[in-house]
Amino acid sequence: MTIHQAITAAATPSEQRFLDLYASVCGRLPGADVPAVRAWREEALDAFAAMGVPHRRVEAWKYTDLRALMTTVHPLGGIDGSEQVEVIASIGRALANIDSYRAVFAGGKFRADLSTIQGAPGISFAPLCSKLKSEADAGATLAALPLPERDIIAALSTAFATSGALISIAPGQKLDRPIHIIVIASGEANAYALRHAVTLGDGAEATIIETHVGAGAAQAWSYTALDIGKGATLKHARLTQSDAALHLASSTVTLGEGAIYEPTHAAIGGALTRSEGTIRFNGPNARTTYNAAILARGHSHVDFTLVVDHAAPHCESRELVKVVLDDRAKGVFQGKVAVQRGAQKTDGKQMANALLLSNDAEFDSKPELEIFADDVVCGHGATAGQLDEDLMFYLKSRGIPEAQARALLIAAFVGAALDTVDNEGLHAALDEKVAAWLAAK
Amino acid sequence: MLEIRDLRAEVDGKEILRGFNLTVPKGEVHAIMGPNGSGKSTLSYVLSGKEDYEVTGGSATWNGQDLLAMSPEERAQAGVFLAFQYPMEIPGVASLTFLRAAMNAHRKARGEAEISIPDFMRAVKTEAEKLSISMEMLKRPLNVGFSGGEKKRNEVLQMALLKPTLCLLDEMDSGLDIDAIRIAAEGVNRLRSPDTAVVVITHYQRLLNYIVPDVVHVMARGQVLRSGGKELALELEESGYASYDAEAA
Repeated sequence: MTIHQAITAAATPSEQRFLDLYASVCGRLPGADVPAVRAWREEALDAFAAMGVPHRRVEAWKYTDLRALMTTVHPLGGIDGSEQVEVIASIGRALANIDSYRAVFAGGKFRADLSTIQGAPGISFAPLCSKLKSEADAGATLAALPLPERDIIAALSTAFATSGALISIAPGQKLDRPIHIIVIASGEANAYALRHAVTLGDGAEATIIETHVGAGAAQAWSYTALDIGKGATLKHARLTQSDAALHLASSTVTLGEGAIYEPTHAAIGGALTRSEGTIRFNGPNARTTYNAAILARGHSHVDFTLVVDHAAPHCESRELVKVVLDDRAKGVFQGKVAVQRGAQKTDGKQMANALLLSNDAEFDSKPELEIFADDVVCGHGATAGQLDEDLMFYLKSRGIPEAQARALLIAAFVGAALDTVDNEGLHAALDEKVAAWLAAK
Repeated sequence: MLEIRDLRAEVDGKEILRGFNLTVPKGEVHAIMGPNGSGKSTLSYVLSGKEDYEVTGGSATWNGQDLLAMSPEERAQAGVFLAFQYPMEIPGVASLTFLRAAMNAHRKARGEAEISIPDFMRAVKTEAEKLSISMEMLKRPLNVGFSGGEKKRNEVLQMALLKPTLCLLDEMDSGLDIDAIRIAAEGVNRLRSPDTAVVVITHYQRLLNYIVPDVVHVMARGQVLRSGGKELALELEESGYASYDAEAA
């Protein structure tokens, strides 16, 4: 179940740019000489071509007109050579220092020299490109990496994938520290495509942190499939930060019976960030708590689009989205809760709050409920407002200067979503990112 | 010394303060009593700098400094403290975070270094104990879910830590039971000094049993109509405000 609609389009210049890019790199992509890989990529490219680059008349992209916002496609990075990259300089000391099993992807390539995930206890890890070398390897690997339906971002990420993290955590395994996937789009005028897949065995417990940063006007496309087994728990933090880069990310998460999925998504800045996801309950008694924060100013455009698909009964979903917009920034939250036939006792709640710091900022919220069961509790709400002047006066009346009072209140506003992170290092790093964003004004 | 001369202020075009005069020398406690709608709260907001109030005439100085020319934070840093009738709840901002930000803002204004965390915690603990405020409570978001009494004690705690020299207490007793009034009043009395002026704004005489004023002023329709000793408060308790309302009208 997705909120994309089937569309067909002739190849306009928008599509042609991608098709030309593929034609220029297909002979050099990983697995170019392996038929199974080629078929896998071209199936995705065909799916992309059939959908076309979405525009505002495509309902799911109404507020994020990709055709208008993405007028160029950069050359694909991650094929030749290796780019110079410094992890601490790219993502900041606080995030870089989180005690974790690290998988670093820079410039579209897995960087073994910067990673520590190889051989970590209880984790089976491989970079995608290493599995595309032979027909036998590729066949088994790609069978487990199907293309989701009507997902333009997944299609691009698949057709052009130069690598990605393939992670599998054995049943019952409880990781002693988080996995940190660091994706650095390092070349200012390159495009990067990665495809990740994570499998948590039954009863496993893990925390995954994803940090995505982009240099200059880099373009980063990624698709992540997460499969959470019965009774397993996954905490998943995802931070996207850049000034002028373009991030297109999509994910599909499936939960088995009794599984728990706790994502915390934050996006800071970026010319365009579209982060869409589907969370699907495949078994009963599972739950998810989705917390998200958007901080954007200048001409940033940040779009979080989420489908929670209650395909099984007795599941619970909570969504809390906090959006702070300044200058001419635009924020979008599209949240759909689908309750399928038979998914009785579904309990779904959604809330999106926006804080508009300028008259030119814009927040678009589109909640959707699609319910095919009769014994459910579902609700949604959305608010948009300005900083509370009475609270501002209270802080100032205690001697706290205007700028600091604003920063305190804004940090508190997004804190409602970010404070749920229980990893101390990550919590501190997120606080620092928010403080730095506030101080940069 | 607080000197207010012919102060006029309006809200939404409606004049609330209509030539208000008041002089409070350092070291004294003055009570301002008056019926609802007499402009008591407006006076406290105008003195502390709330934006919704437009001053249309007159002056207000504290130790010679022109309060009306200063921003709310500058007034606070100059020693003005308004204890709110209804203290704000601030979700997401822990009381301790807020207190430290406020204390450091005052120190910065005085050209001092930030307070160290151990010194800060010691200072808070000492004052919180006197007011029966638990440290657990101070780790929670400011005033969120606090009872009326807890909020007022929190105001007094802020006062004790920021050490203002001009305390404006707006209906500090509203919604409090006798025990809560006593604890809060004791906190205010501890701040009394030869350098400190206190203005107690209240509807009822009751609070003045605990914070004993040097002078009592009766306010109605935006002006001081009568001033006297603390016995004036008892007289008001007996006779009510009706005659002043009529006089002013």
